[in-house]
Amino acid sequence: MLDKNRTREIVEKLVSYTGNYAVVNIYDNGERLSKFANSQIVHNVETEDVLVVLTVYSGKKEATCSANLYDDESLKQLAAKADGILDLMPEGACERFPLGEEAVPESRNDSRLAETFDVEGRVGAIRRCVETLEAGFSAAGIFALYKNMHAFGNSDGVFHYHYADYVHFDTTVTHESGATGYGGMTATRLEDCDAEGAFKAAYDKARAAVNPVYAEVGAYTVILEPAAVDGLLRFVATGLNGDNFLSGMSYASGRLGQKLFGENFTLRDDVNNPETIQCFFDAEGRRRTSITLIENGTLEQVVHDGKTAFRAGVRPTGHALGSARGSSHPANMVFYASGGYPINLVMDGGDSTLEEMIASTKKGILVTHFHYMNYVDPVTAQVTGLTRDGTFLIEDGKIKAPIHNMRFTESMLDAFSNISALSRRRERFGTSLVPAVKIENFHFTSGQK
Amino acid sequence: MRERLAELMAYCLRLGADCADIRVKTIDTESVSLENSEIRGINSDRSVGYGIRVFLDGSAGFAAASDFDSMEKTAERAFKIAKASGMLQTRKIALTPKPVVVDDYATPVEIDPFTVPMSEKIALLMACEEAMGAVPGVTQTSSSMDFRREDVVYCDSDGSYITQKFCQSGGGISATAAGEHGAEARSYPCANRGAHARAGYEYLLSLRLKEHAEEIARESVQLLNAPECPTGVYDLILDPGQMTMQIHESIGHPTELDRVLGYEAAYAGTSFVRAGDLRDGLAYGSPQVTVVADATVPGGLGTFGYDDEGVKAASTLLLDKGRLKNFTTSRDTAGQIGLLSNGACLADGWRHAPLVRMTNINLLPGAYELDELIAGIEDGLMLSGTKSWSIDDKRINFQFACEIACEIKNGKRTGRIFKNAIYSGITTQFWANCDGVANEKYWSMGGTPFCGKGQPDQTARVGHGSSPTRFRKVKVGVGDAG
Repeated sequence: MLDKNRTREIVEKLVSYTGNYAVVNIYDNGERLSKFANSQIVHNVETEDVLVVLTVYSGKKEATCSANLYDDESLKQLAAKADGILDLMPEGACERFPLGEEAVPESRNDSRLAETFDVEGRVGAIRRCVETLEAGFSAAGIFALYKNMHAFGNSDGVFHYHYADYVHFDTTVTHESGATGYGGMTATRLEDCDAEGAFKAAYDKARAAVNPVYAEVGAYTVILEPAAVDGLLRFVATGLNGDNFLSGMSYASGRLGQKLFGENFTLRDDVNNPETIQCFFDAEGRRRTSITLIENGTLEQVVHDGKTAFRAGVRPTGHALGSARGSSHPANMVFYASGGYPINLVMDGGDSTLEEMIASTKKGILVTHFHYMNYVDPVTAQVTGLTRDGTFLIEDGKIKAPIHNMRFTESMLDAFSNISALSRRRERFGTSLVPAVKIENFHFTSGQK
Repeated sequence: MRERLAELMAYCLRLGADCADIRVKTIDTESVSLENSEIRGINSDRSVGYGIRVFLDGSAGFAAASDFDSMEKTAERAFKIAKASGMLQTRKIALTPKPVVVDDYATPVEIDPFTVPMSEKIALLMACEEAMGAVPGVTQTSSSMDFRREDVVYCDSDGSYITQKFCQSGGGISATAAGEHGAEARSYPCANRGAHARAGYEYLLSLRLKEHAEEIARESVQLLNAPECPTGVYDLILDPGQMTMQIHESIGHPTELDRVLGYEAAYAGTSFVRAGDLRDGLAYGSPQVTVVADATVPGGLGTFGYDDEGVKAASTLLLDKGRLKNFTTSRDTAGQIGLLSNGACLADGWRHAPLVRMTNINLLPGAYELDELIAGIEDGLMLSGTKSWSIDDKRINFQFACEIACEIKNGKRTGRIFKNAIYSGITTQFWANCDGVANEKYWSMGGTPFCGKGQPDQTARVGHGSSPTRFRKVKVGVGDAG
């Protein structure tokens, strides 16, 4: 892993080799991933990849070149290539927001994660889990250790460095009948790693999911576990991207200050919350700010990188994303866009529990998580997707039966306007921290028969 | 290089490995993006590295790095990982046999896209932008082109040594009209950065982007003011652009053998198809539906000389007149059902281990003229332009949305268009209701360079050939009345 001194040296060299104003992002991503299926290892991989991204500016022109080579000769070639492209370009429309002097906190890293979860540690943890399975059940999933380094520097001498490990475990336990259950955990501290707990949750779900029945399509009260809520929030967040906001291709376009959601829906992007995965600067070198996106249902703010901020006439919020292949940070693994993205989603909880939500439901559906969600229409925030790995029919306050997976098609504006309960306890999924929620009048539009 | 890699493979055997292979890849990419007649970004990237796969007593380990001075250390890491994999390996990995091959392959290229001046590329896209932007009512335009060059060296401990050079070119344009009541986009040849092929710059030129710019811009404005697509049960004709998505999600993925065997159960999902369905010739679709996995078709995004296990590119019949005939396979998975690999094991770049991937999954042309397909519809729609897609983890229930629906009444196109066309179905029922495929005159290759699968997540470039295809009794709309 490239250390602070080495990355600073690379930045300084690139700045000196280019004849233009330079911005440099360096990523060094180590991925150690053990994948299992049918209760045994099917892929076991370790990779290292450095990416050096150089963006050069002249007037209103901009060009970006990147490479995973960083010896002296390669850096000279990179700078020459970027300068060469810039020279050929017509005058553009690029505007750069100047970076002010901003103190950026050091990232915390728990080195015990890498020590504990080397390849034997990961396979051993998986083995302990699958050894608990009775005959007729099998498990699939991953146990991964991600090592993330990001450094930023520019021609003005600004330099930031981030390094942190985190681990991710998720699993689907399958019964021979086809019934499945899901569990997952993400941790940045060793004491938060509970793969066995996540596995047990998946196993319990799979056992409960045997002998499913078909439920009728229609509108239901749904109780969404945190993993399912996290899935929906990704689409709320996508609409808050500066580019989508300005282009008119978002439910949020032109609606700042309006009440779009229910009173009990508050969503922030909070890099300062230690329960999220923290990196305190963005790909433009700005300090990530903690902002309230939606307060009691009212659209308060969207996020911007430098370009969309300039177009919108506001200050950048510190949410610029880097190269699509520049980071194994979870946000970049699932989503990449210009205009910024709120990575550290934190949703306010309530005063209920999952059990209380079930007990108070006359007829409804409990959802563990969703699969293959996609916008049907970003302007109306209509999203579709399917339940998976544990979907249950609730009647008279009790779980009555497991059901086959169902497709929902629902506007996120309606869904988050119809929250009738939120759990006190919130769980971390990737970079998000979210509660379980109960939503009324949620539309399931088809099933599997 | 050859001697060095052969020595490295020998080193793996000296470590104690049963066998090993390595892929060395140099990947250059270039992308140009414009928006609203302004340059949005010009990006160029180079990635060089290698990935070593080691097999030890039925277990596998993979390590990848870009430091060519420490290849032996990387091999040792892969060996150590394979050893650790053995801690949880109840079924030993057994690779099916393949011939030892020494060969070269290169994508046929007329114009190397990396030699075309940037000013020419920008000028072409700028002309598209201006043509789209000149249409009253258009509020946003975007255009892009992307190029990718891969130099791949494959070597294994059996003695195979294969070099391949791939070249990929493509691009697309999009126009959006936004108003008080929403926004509608039209794209050409398709959304999400357009169409791509394994070919040179000549492919980009053949798309004739500028010639379509004004037309799609006009359509975006018409769509903004068009009525919502009616809901109900209709006969549909899907154009090849939408057929790409339909084939990809509901035939390509379900017939990947690793999914069938449960390897992707926790993430991408499994399949409703079982390995035993091969024996019985599962009824997947109507007799109109014959589908091949063909890695040899010229220009296909999934066309190559050899896959990333050194298996020669092949054309495999997946569905024959609607009946299941085979899967896409790797050396590990094929052996589990008593077959040999059909050369569909591919890795995204050098930093990933190969896994089962689609090559070019093509619906073979039928016998119909397009007018005949239309003439056979009393009340239906012709859908174009993929807008949204979703399918469940077993690939049973799909729902797609298209940019534009053209009305067909009494065997003729009425000229009326609708927006927000959404259709859904159950995979085998849907393909069973396919009753007509247009002939080879209408057949074209499409595909996607963004197919995601695997953990770690890998992106593959896969091709899909098809012609306009008719389906009966399809649910249109998303009402929850069943």
